[in-house]
Amino acid sequence: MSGHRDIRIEVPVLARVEGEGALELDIEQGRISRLQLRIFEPPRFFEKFVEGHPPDEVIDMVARICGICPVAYQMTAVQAFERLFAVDPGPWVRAMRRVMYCGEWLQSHALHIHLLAAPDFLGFNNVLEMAEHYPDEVRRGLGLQTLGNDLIALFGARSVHPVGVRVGGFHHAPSTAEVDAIRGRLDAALPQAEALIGWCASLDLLDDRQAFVSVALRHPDEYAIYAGRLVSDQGLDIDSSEWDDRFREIHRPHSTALHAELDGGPYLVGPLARLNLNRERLPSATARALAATGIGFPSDNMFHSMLARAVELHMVLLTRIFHK
Amino acid sequence: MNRPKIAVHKFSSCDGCQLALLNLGETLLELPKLVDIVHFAEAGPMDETAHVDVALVEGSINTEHDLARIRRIRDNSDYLISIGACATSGGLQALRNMADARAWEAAIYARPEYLDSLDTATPISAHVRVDLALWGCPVNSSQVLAALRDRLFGVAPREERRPLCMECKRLGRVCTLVTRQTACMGPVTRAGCGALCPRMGRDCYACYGPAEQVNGESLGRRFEGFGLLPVDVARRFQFINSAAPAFREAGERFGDGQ
Ligand code: SF4
Repeated sequence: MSGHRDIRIEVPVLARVEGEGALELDIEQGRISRLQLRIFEPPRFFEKFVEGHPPDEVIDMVARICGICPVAYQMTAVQAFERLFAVDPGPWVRAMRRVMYCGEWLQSHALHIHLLAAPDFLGFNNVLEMAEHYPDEVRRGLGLQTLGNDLIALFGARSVHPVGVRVGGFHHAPSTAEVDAIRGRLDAALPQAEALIGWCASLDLLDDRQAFVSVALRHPDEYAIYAGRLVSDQGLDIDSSEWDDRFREIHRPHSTALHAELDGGPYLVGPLARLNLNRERLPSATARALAATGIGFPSDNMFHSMLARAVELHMVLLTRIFHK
Repeated sequence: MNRPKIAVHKFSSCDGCQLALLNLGETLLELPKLVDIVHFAEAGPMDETAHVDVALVEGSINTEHDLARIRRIRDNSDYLISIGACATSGGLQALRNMADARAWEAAIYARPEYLDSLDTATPISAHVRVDLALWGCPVNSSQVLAALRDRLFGVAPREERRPLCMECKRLGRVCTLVTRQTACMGPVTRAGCGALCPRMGRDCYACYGPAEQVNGESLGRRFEGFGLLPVDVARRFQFINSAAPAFREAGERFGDGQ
């Protein structure tokens, strides 16, 4: 850090994030003396009110934790119950749940890149302003987001709080015509996703390297989305049932979101951590598109998170939907 | 043209109802032609205290801070629309209104004293006047756009009050209650979702709130005939919209040990 300035930044409500958060940053003599991300989203008590409900009701309830990622909660809950009951829903259900999950990654990544993150990198207040200067890029992004929502709805009837997942499988399987229609759209979107990778890589990013621990799921033969072991780049390799042995949740005064530590220290999850740990599981077409950017992974530059999202977005378009 | 100003506010929620706008796809880019979005934190625009023509409010009131905020929003808005179950009935989190909220805090949080949390999750209408309530968990895009258009063109909104069964029949769906004896809430739930659950061959779980004239007694008895215990019947009513009066009362009738 150059200079010895004192800076105080307080953002009472963060814009373009999910949920409610505030940021407080104090810099004294050019060094950060206080940095707090304050999550003031009030507690809703899911941990307690799911008690006493039958499994399929719980699956409908936990979706409401988050409107942007309801599938993640539903898939976690359904797998927990199936493990408890020793129920194996079989390969088709497992594969199609991963497809539904791909729909969530597709819409959430497209939303994140275009509506939340990119305006910052390009100097706009929001996506609507950005659309005046980057109409094609924004249209491409919104189209990919819609495709992701439609892929969720294929299995869940709607994209926010879908109603399709149940213990043992799904409530309903999509028809051949519906599957064929969406398969065509996924293929047609591939060149757009490839262009998106290039676009994210071309943004003028800071070269800000930091040491951090990446944590993600890893699966023996696919890029882990739905299932896998918990791994880190520091040698962690455990089953999810061993979570409590290594991870700890802590309640801090400034935040209603609990903080978590792995072996007593902080760690990173999300697209950058996942790509760092699973890059060799990318399908070859995605790996080629990433290689063309010249940016190598694993990366210790946090600003590569957006590129990692674009890479995962390309990967999920290659998912295979098939009939039982 | 002087475009009407709108604001989107969030209280305790999952953000899912705001997605009725953010998931519009290319239509999202048309929105600024219709309205001037002055506050919508998740999308970017930030002017929380601006005076607006229409305020869309998501989420339930859960904290002391929320109470002050919603009053200020009401003062600053000509027309206030509650969007979704959380804002309109208290939503799923209103289940805590029937429990010992302090005990729940202590069970989950190491330091409950850090929290600003009221004992109840309440709808917007419990605190300020609401001009139009949209039901659903989540509301869908066409509900929100129709409400905005009606307001902008000075048309009285047509509130959907009919039960889901009407919509389900109109779509030509096979009744899951009659043919499969599922505990489908369609007969007492407001239409408007497109009969999504019956289309998936499953029971409606009432995320669109109570329809007009809920006959909870009779539907509950029918469920008992399918083998549900009274407590199971109570849970059907006291779910996503447990604090909506018609559902709360129906649930109490079965839940109180009959
Ligand atoms: S009503 Fe449902 S979808 Fe809307 S914010 Fe509340 S929990 Fe989310």
